[in-house]
Order: sequence, then structure tokens, then C-alpha cells
Amino acid sequence: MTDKNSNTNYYSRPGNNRDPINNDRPDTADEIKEQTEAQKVKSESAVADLDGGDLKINPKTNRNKLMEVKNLHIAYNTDRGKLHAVNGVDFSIYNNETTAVIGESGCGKTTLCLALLKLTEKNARYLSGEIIYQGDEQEKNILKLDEGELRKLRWSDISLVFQASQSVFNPVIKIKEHFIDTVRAHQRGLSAKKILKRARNLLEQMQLDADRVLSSYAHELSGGMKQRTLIALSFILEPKIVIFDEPTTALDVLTQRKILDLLKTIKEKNDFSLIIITHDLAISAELADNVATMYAGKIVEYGPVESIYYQPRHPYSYGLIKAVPKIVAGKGEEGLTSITGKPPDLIEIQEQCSFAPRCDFASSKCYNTIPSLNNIAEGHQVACFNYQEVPSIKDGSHVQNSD
Amino acid sequence: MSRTLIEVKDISKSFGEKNKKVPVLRGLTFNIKADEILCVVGESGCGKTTLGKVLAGLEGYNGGSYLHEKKEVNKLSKKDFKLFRRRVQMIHQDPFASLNPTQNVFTILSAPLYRHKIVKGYQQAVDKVNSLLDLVGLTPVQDFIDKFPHQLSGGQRQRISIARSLTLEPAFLIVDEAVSMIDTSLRISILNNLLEIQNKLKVAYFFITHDLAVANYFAQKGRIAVMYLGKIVEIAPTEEIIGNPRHPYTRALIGAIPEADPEVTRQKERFKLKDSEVPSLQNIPGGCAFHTRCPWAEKPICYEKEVRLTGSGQHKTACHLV
Repeated sequence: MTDKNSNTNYYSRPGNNRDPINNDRPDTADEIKEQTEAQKVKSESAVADLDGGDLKINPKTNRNKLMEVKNLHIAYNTDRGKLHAVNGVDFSIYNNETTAVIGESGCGKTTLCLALLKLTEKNARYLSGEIIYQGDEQEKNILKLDEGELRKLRWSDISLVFQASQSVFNPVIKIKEHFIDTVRAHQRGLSAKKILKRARNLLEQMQLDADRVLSSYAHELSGGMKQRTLIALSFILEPKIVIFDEPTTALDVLTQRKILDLLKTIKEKNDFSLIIITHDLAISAELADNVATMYAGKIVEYGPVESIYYQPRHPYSYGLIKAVPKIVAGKGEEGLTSITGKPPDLIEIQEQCSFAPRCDFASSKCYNTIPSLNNIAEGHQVACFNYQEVPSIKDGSHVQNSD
Repeated sequence: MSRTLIEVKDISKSFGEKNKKVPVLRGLTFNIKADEILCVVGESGCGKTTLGKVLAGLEGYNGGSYLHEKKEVNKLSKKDFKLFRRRVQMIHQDPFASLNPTQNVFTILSAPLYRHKIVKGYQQAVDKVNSLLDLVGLTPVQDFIDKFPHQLSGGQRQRISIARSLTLEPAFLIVDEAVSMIDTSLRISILNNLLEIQNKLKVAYFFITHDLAVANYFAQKGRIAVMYLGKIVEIAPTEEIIGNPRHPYTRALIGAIPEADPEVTRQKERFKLKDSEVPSLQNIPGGCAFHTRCPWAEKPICYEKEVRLTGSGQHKTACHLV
């Protein structure tokens, strides 16, 4: 497969000018490959790295902002009143990085990602905020674009793979028509032949039999194949940002592994930013560079993946990680705990930290002030007054004990 | 050593018409002791839910034997079968679909009590329902007893479902993916609740899950059986099967599962299979059914010779090469 890809990889356009500044960044595709190879040989390097007692969390320098969400508030008009699904979110997407948005059902993560493309339902109201996208030409506020401009932006700049990929294909048209329709809806001047050539190429990168898939109907493909086809479809216009909503939910472990591996390969070889929305902490641990924890419509913590998993500073991130059973990593693990209580009703307007009623670290201040997202380290932000009290999940001593 | 509650020998089950039979269970043998936890893991379509239904008496079986308390379940008298129904209960996957939306919690929990004449009169029923709600951690009870399912969260509904399965004081509970539809932060509390119940009531669990990590947590002191295309390919005490997997399929599953630890999950040793797709049940490969995906498969033995679950002691594997 590797051979096939290296000469048919049309992502490396001539004079790849997408990201001139970051060209000297350490994690280019080749170096990552070398690294992974090295890791295979030395499979215990994780433990070795941690021996010193300090985790090596190197905040990335030289990051290029591709998209910035500023103070976004979105509410749904419902029979019961305004439901504040996104309640003051600030965050950024950086060039060529993978960002995972984690949180439980109903925390607003899907609404947030739909908003990045202004695809929210009709009853959604954008109360305030802006989403600045730094495209090729100039900055655009996505929320201010009209339908025509949005149509050009969607799929060619930002594409979205929906949850429940099993049901997104139209059952009465062939897969090949999906590719042609999608391209024609968002970009003009490409012949069907050209589109199918690209599609074939992408499907082969996803290790599918391209001819068979293109001439099939959706019901003729297995769940894993449909998901891979959909991933290929999301890359057809070479977007700069790809959003995956629950990419592997409802797939079996081995199919999921295949898709995760393919995603990693495609990410290494190409230049784009990936946003993953998931409730599965294992998937974000595997794929993400940065993790944003969402709770009750707010991002409560954002940081590099190692910081979030080993030294979370928000009690909710801490609680989530403590609640996930592990296999290899969990040798001799005991006392997994759940977070007690339930998330607040998003219709009520909160005048306190919305996590306070479920929080073990809450002080009186938490019940009368809303904490804002503050920088506590390079690239690590937390919305919590008592973040210093949250214990670390893993440090040097822990690793030595468990070995 | 506790006594053996369930003995399953070479059980098989197929669906469909005479000439178009789809074998779903293809000869499974195992025992479950009276206070034991047995977790079954496998990909979708491997027959784990069908096995659960057969054990619960909701589906019959075509071949082999299934002994409950030393009695063949297929041949129970009407009276004995009623007793079997009381002793063996099932908790379903989807708490949104498994509770009647028109009944409140009290009705849901008291109906089986009246039906099987476990309580006499209203007051006894209220007392029993209160103790059940208390057992599944829905306290204070007054807040829940009058509620309808739509007023409860997913986790609370699943607890009602658990309470309902306990109404008839069963000795054997079949739990089918009970936490797969529950939010991450609540999963552990449901699992812990099930473990507490086991501690108090000394019931046996047959726990079906696709998530090896959940099985590893839940069956810490029990056993795990790995199923593939209607057969058990490996069965062993949990610590043994996770720490020292023998069958290539088990190795692949353990290697493939992502873990909530960035360093571990990215550097985990993978066990690559030849093919990520499961063969169709209508066209099960001959010999060892796993040979189409197995990187070890050798000609001619794996392609032609049927494989049986063998091994000394507790750890049994169905593979020609281990």
C-alpha cells in the first residue's frame, strides 16, 4: 500500500504553498514515519521516557492558526425555552494538527462542530461570537457568509463526516454518483472522469477495491467499508479541515483499528487539520495532538494530549479519565470511579461553575462565579478556580510501580 | 469451591429454513459456577447475543445439551420451566427500548412480583420495590418510585432494568451489553453496582460485551471467553487471557483496542490480521474458521482440519498451532 500511495499522492501539489512557515516543523510525514518505525523496534520507550519522573510535554511552537472560534453562543429555540447548547466557546484550530473534542452526550460538541460549517438546524440561534477562518485569500467570518459562499467553503475547505455513517449514503444511487454529486455541488469545472480518477486514488489509499466500491450501492458494502468510503469522500476536494463526528462508533474493534490506522497514515502523508468529536477517550488518546474537554456547552479544558491524560487540571477531565477501564495500561488498576450526579439542564441559565454540583474540589466561590478559560501553561487552558488541587493521573513514580 | 450451576455441552443453534440454514452457534462447551462471572467478547455477528438468549431460555437450541441445575432445559416440565424462568433473568442492552413507556417504576417492578406470587398485597409489594431500588442505588426511593421511564436518564433506566431482573430473586443473570449505551462517566458506577449485587446476592453473571476493556474490569475475578463465528476460540481466567493470550484472534483483539492513555495506545504491540472483514455466517470457512484472517495459518492443517477447544486446566484454546 505504501508504494501505491507515494507516487499517487496528489495532496503534495506542486509547490505545496499551504503552509510555508511550518515547513521546518519536526513532524513532517517522513520523520513521523521514522519515529514510528523506531518505536516499533523499541516498544517500551514510553516507559523509558517517563523514568525521570517528569513527563515530557513539549508545547508546540510555530503553530499556525487556521480557524478561531471567539466567544460563541448558540441556543436552540425549543418548547421549553432557549437551550444553550454552546455557551461561550473560545478555541482555535491549528494547521496540520489533530484536535479532539471530548465530552458526554448532550454537552454541545456536535452543535459546536456543525456551527463550524454553519450547518446547524433551523431552530439554532447564533446569539453572539464569531468563527474566523483563515483561508487562502483573506480572513472570513463563517457566520457572516451567505449560502453561496458557504457552498464554496463547505467540502472544498472544510468537510464533515457525520456520525452514523452507516446511513448517510443515498440507498438508490451508486457510490460513484455520490462522489460526482458531491464534487459538482461544491466546485465547478471538473469532469466526471477526473473526479472518478481522484476517487479511485483515494479509495485505494483507504485500501478498498476502488472499482468494486464505485459501482456498488451502499447496502452492498459492510459497515467498515462504508466508513472508509465516506472518509475517502471527505477528502475528495482536498479540504484544509476535516471534521469527524464519532468516526468509529458502532464499528467492531478490528474494523475500528483498521480505520484508526488508515486515518493515521493519511494524516502523516497529507497536510490538513483534523477535528475529531468523540465520547470515546481511547480514540482521542490515540489520534489527537490537542484535546478540548467540553461540559455543558463550554470548553472547560484545552491542552496537549499528554497534559490532558496525565496531568488534567479540570476535575471533569480528571473524572472522565478515571472512569475509563483500560487493558494494558490498566494493569492492576483499581478504584475506577464514576462522576456522580448528572449534567445541568442547558435551558436554565447558570450563574455558577456548571460542574460545581458534581465536583469534589468545589469551593464556595464555584457556586457564585463562572470560571473563565485561563492559560495555566503553554498551550494548556483550564476553566477552574481550584485546578491546582486536581491530582495527576500518571507521573514517574506511577510508571515505576506498575512495571 | 462452589457448585456448578450451568453446564453447556456442544450446544448449537441455527436459524432459517431447512435448505438455507445459517449456523449461529456451532458447538460451544463451558460451565458456569454458582457465583461466577463469565464474560463473553467478540465482534458483532459472532453469536454472543444468541448464546445469551439461549441461556435465558428465550431461544431454543438445536443440538447439544444445556443443563441448568443438572436438568436439561429443553425437556423441563411446565412447572420446572416456570421455576427456571424465575432463576434465570436477562438484562437487555437498550434501556430506552426495554422499559414499557406507559408504566411507572412501581408497576414495572411490581408486576413480576404479583405474577409469580412473591408478595401478598400492596404493602409487601411497596416494601419489596423499595428494597430493590435501594439495591440498585436509586435513592431516595420516593424520588423514583412514581416516575415513568421518559423522566429518567439512560443510566437510571438501566438501573431500573437491573432492578426488574432482580425481582424474582434469580441465581443466574445474563447481561447483554448493559453499559454500551451509557455515558462514559456513568458506566463504571453501573458495573460497580452489578458487582456489589453479586457480592450481596451471590448470583452468577453471563456478561456479554464487545468491549474487552469492560470485560477486563468486570470479570477481574472471573473468566473471559472469546467467541468467533459461533465458537469459543479461547477461554481462561481474566488475568491469564489478558496477560498471556494464546489464540491469534485474542491477540489481535487485545492489540487492536485503543486505550485511554496516549503513550500506551500509540506504542502498543499490534497483531496484524490478513483481513479485517469477518466472513459471512452463510459461508463459514472450513477447517479452522479463522484461517482466512489468521497470519499464522498453515496449509493443510488449518484449512482442512476442524479445531476443538483444548488445553489443560482453566486455560483452553481452539487453535492447531498453540
